[in-house]
Amino acid sequence: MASSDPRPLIELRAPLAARRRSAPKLERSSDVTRPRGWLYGSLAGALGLLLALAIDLGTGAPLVRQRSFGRAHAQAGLTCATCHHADEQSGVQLDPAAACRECHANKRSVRTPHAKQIVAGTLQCTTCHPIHQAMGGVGFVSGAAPVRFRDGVEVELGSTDIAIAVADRPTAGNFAPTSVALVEVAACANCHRVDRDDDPMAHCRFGDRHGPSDPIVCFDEHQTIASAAATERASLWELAREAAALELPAASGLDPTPDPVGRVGLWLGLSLGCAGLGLTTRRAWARRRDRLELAAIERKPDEREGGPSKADAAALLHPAERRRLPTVDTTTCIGCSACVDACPYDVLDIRNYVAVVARPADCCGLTLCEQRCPNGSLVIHEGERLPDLPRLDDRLEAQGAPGIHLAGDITGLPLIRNAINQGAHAVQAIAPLLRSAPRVEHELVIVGAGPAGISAALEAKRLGLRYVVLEQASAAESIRSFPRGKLVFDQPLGMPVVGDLWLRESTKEELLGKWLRIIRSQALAIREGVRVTGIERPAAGVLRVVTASGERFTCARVLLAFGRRGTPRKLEIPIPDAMLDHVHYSLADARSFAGRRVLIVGLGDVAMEAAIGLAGQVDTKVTLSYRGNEARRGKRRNVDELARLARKGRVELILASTIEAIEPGRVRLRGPAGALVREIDSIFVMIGSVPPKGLLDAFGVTTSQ
Amino acid sequence: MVDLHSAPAAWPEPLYAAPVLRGLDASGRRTIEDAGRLRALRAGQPLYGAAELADSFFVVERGEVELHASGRGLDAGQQLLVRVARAGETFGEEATLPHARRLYTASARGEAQVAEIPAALFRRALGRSGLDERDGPEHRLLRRRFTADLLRSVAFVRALAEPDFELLLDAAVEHEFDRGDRIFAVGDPPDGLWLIAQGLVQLQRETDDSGKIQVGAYLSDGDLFGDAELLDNRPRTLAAVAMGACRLLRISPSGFRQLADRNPGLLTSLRRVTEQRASMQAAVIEQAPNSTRHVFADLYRMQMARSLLTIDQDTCVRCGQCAWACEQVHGVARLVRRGDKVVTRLRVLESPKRASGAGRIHDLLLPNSCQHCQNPVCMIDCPTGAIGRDAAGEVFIREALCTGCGNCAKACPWENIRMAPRKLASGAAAKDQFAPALVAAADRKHMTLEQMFPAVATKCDLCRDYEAPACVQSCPTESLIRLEPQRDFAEVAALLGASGAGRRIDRVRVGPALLAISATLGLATTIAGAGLHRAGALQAGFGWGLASGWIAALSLVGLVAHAVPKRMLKLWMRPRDRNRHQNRDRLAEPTETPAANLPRSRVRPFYLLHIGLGLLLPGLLLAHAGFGGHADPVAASLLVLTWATLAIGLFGAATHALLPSRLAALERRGALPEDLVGEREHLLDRLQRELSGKSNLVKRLTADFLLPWALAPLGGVELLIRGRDLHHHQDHLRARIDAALPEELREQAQARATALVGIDDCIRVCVELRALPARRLANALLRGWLMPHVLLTGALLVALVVHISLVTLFAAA
Repeated sequence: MASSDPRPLIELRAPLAARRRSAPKLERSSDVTRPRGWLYGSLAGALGLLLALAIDLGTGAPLVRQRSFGRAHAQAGLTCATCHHADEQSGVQLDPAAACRECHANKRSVRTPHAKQIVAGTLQCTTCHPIHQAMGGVGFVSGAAPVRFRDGVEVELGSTDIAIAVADRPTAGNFAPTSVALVEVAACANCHRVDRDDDPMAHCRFGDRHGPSDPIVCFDEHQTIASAAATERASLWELAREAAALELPAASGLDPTPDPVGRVGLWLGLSLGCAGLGLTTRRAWARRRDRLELAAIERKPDEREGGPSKADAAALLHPAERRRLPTVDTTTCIGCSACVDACPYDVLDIRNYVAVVARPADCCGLTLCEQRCPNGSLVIHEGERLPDLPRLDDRLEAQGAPGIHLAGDITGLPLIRNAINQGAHAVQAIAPLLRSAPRVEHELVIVGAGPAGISAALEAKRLGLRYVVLEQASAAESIRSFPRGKLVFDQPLGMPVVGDLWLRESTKEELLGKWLRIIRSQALAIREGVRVTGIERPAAGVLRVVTASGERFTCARVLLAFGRRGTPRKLEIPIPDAMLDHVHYSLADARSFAGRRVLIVGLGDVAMEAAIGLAGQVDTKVTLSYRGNEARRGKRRNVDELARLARKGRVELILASTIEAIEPGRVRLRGPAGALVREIDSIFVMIGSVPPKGLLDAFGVTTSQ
Repeated sequence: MVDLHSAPAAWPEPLYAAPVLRGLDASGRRTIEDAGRLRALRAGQPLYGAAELADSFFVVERGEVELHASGRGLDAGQQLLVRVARAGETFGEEATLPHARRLYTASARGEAQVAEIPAALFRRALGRSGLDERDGPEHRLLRRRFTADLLRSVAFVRALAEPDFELLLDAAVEHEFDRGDRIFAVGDPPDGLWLIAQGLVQLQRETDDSGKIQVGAYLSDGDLFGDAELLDNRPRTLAAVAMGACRLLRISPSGFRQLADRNPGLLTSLRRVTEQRASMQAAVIEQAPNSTRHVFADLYRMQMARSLLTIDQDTCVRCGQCAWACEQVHGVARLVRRGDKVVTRLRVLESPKRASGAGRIHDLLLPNSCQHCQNPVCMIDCPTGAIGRDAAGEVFIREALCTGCGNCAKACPWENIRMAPRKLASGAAAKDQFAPALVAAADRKHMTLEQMFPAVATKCDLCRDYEAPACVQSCPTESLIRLEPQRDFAEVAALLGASGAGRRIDRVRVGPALLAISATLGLATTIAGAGLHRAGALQAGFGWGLASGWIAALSLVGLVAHAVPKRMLKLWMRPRDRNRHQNRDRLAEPTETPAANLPRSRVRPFYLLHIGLGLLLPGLLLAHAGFGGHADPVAASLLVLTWATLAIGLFGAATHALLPSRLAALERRGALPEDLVGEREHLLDRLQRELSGKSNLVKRLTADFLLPWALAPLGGVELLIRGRDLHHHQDHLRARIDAALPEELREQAQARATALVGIDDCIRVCVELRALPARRLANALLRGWLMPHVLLTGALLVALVVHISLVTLFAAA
């Protein structure tokens, strides 16, 4: 391809999606779970409404409100169809308001303005006598007490003056039952302002009573007083007027149909409540079923699904005392690479479609590979006893050093995730022990603010302990020393995480940023720049941590979480002052060495990653010296990439060589072919680190032999 | 086929006497017996046709099989006998090459019995026995012939004389690469001229500071690269990366020089080929600068996909019906509506009349769902041969053979295979539902089969038991289509050479008209009903008022009945053929050719009908019941429920009409609502990462200007209302930043570029940050209303029934 082409077609932002090391699990997205329970909720809502109706019916209240149309109409045996009916010939619905005239003929208004309106059709009987609303009045029956009725409510006026007046009348025992209809202010309010004194009908109201349901007392609408004088009806008018003046008894308690708004609210509320109940019940059931199903395929549940399993976590907390090694039955192994992908240290490899143990020395002894093997071809066997491991009990307390607990790399279990688990677990185990401890300045001193230390501090804060973290450099120093952009958790997640510390497959910067944010937001008590040197035991159950500056921290328990990184192993040759600033023990950012000549000493993963990173810089000349003949350990990916770079001439690999001397600007090496001299600007010494055995001894922690 | 319901007999011993099978160990035999099958052939029975997909090869146990080639030139139309395979011999070896298609037609000469063996599995079985099938003489010859064919297809090679050609053939060394492998890196010494036999290669350069990758060109079958540095022996200036499994030929520098010396015109013709290719790709990009970028990002995926599920984000209402339908049919959803987006033009014709699909740029989401690769890496990686492919190219998993090891799920670059709990059929014994090798493994560990193999790999099989995929058929908005990018995406077709004509999809054409009519009718009845009621001319119990009540009741029933086609897929999912169970584990048996037309949605017409009826309902309700004020509590309840459901539904219809395209403009990738929960934190993390190591100016600009803009309250709503895409906002922001720069920087382009390195990435993140609340809001609006809409219907139906019975049956009482 022509390299002269200056313009790229496109720019890629995401790296090429390629083979993963863990298989994606079934995911029940919200798309699938969202409609769950809708049917059940809907059915429950329907049942709820039925239930509400049944309950309401049970109390005897009618479902359909019988609309009242006045006592006299009811007594006359009228039904809905009397007024609401269609013309028999044409089938056209007739105006129910016109039906009044079928019985009440010749009831024109005697008032001229009203009569004009009636002729014009703008005033109907129902305008003043709205038949279903407030069709009130007074009923007089011969020989009985008069009845005040309104809106379906009837009140006997038995013990009032009116009753006496009726009884006192000369015709008392002998008159036709009569109803006097009362018109209410609301009916006239369309045209009249009853409240105003200059309104023509101002005199029709009762004093100042002009509320909508107050009666009008001019009874000469259809018949003038003059023409009615001395009739039986006219005398009843007077009584009706008095009856109208009486306050109607409160409607509540009398009205046989309860408030419709309240009933509707109750029914719908009950229905919705049932719907919600149905929905949530069904959803909870489905969620539980999902969890159980997923648990079946996840022999070790991931933190994403259903939460960590404490029992499994505990099993992994304890480092194995014996070396463990996988053995593969080659006749049954199907070569699916499940174990290869599960191994965090590239111990296993696939050759000729069969898994083999390629780097037994790197085996960490966790049984991830065995758990992942689909057909039981890989089995972990225990081998010889491991040296240099602290002896710990179940609470991660060192045997022989009471009050001292260990977590993280120093227990012999590598992996960041383990450190996090152990830190949290140790604090959980310590918390109950503190109840019987003497009261001193701190309950717990945590030494080291790496993954284990931060996780322990978070747990201690959660449990409300008085704790302090002592860190000789700065928090998460081990993460800081990773090369720029390093993928920190580049391995399958098979173990559950206990505790709150955030961890997922991420770059160094992401992880560091996140952890520092956690430290800040949780205000963890971390004292940086405090170097711990040893311990004193001033009294039984009291520990005093001694620091390099002479400061002392009295406490009940100590958690050692300083990891194995400790101090980097140094070269055993003198370094001239001029080169002191140019000898590094870690590589944080390869870009700052662009264009330089660098020598890397060592061939572990750290050294190889540094060499690969530096070789990727423009014009950087990388030389790597190693005393062995070949890479004994390290990730396969690194080994392959370094071999490729060496083949291409990007890295000069000098195996079986030792550093003779460092001089300003150059290095003398002794290789298999004799003495060599390389001009260099910087040296990276990456030959591992000195295990902090001295510090362990200072705390009285004994290790197995 | 493997009859899994009765224990299969072991393959006859004479078969293993065949030279090719002689080296197999016991477990190798068991593996191929489990996954392969013995086929008895009648006289003259065809076995496969030329150009069919080739996934397995054959060993003749007894009888004879003839291989025919269709004649060319003078013999055109005739079948020429190529070879007769006799007992112990193999045929169909081309299957061992990736991407292979059958060279010949095979049919039985007399009665015959042949063993069909999946090629990938056989390679594994041989490898385990310490052999390599590629070393066989037949295979070497086959490969040399392939190489020769391939070389002859390259333009400049055709010009070479025969001796030169032989020279080239001898100088060519075959190499195989996997996805993501680097063929060479920038700065490497030139190692030869590369020729792509099969696969896709990306020439790229890493930008020095940010680690981003600039793509120079895509090269595919028959293309040459790596020649530029060869003559003057300079280090490589570009890197070459295999996009997928690739087979390449390398011609060594000395061989190449020898050729170049003998053919002086060679170099010019090489250059011309290179330039042609570069200008062609640049032209495609030039034509559609916004759309091709997405297609280019993973062209390999486009090249591989045979049936790629795409969701048009401009019309997708994010209801998730597709994934839900998948779960209904298969027990677990094999489709997760999350993934990359592609912006492209389609060559799919939307209806017989108009070719509207050709013009519009589609915003397509490529969700996690199997795309049925032409060269399925999952099938090659399956250690038990559980993944098979039928003649039409549909890739499927045979659960009886699946150990749940997850190798396929890890291998699929697009997470389209997922591990799910195994569900055993209740009818048969567990032992009958597993292949013998799996039963033996469980016996060895003294575990039950369910304990031993709790997981199974699941992926889309295009609903192979049914006529068409459930997801496509159940989409209410016809947003889902399964496409073949190389044929249906205009840009991909232009880049890779279109295969076949554009296909057709029959959409529901009366949709807009139906909705317009019902909206107009609905509005008219609403106005009329309201007016007449106010005038007192309509009564609920009589005449037109009563009639509209009855129509409204029927409409309500019709509206609720929408749930039936939508939720009861079994009613309309038609099985492909009756004998479904036999179908399930079928291996490469020819099926009918896929229809030229794409399957269409079955739910869409019902959805349109539902909305149409819904639009009519307000008018009917007003005509029947007026403005309420009823003393009858049942009628009042019914009215409240109906209006509430109707209002929610109309709101939902409005969100469906207005929001999807606006939401699509704000999305870079397709995301599920639950993905957005942690997104803000994720974006802030990303911003922090982008800022690390950048100039102080960039940091200050981000802190003082970009972040406040990104986190402004209601800023997202503004983006949603304006409806422009993220690129527009990015450009706008960049322009504002440039305008606000200090004087001295504005003038000096060089200094400005240096000071502002990385600002564009920060702008990208900030625009996403501002859009995030809007995305969440839009998702909530699109999806939130449906649950109350559905929950109210139960009570509504009860109220309707009670109301109707009260006014009819119990009216007299």
